[in-house]
Amino acid sequence: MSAPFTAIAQAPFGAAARRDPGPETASLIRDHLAGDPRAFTLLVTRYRNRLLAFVFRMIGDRERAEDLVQEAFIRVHRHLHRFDRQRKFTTWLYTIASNLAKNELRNRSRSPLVYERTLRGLLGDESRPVEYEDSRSRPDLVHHRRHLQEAVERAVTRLSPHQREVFVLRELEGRSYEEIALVTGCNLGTVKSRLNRARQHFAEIIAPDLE
Amino acid sequence: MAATPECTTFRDNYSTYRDRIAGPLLDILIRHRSTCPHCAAFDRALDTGVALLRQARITTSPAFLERLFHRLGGAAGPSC
Repeated sequence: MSAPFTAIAQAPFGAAARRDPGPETASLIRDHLAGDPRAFTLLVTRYRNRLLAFVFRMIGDRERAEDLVQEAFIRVHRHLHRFDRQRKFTTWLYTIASNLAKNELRNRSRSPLVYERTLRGLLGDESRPVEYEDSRSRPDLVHHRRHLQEAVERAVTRLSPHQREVFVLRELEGRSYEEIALVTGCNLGTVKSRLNRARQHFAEIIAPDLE
Repeated sequence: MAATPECTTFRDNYSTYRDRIAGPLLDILIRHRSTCPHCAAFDRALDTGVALLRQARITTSPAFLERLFHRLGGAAGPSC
């Protein structure tokens, strides 16, 4: 792998770069381990929504995703004293969440309710549907936008689980190639090829809706 | 969708273009993107699709913290 590729792969971009102030997280971990009862709450508050978005995109079921995010934080709470603080906390956190999501998909692949539940989650027929920034536009434009948003959410579910994982981690979570490799347990070459296929597949699926 | 060998190169190396991975290929891909309508449409489709996905606000339920700390046995507490 070339040096420039490695350099890019190691650099988080956009939202992730802005949202992940390492030292603050490190001090919350330190405070929690020192017995500060508020520190873990702050840690959960900082990461819960983006972890939920990641798991939801992985499994397509909003309600179940929240259960899995809870489970992820329970595991963090249980094992934080063993966490190697030289490592990046988000890598560990996303690895836990990713493993839970993959187990869920494996379990669900044996269930005939999978497709029905996934659609229910996507189309908002739940107590907490996915919300979008919008609302005060003309009704026809709102309707069109809603149609497009459903189309792109469906497009994500049509990616294979491997493709979906790298696609969401890179495009939506802004994770570096290096971090994605650690979360998925793949080498950088595999991450790059899966991501390329995922992007192609996603663009081909949604192109007709965007024309 | 790919129309020419250059289009195939663009699609096969699309991540190099999108993530701006420096190297001799990047300039070729940027030039191709600016002249090929098929690949420009492909790139726009991905851009638009991702932008729509990023607009979604996915937030935990109001009872999330309370439920979590209940499951943790009151280890910390949703006091913040």
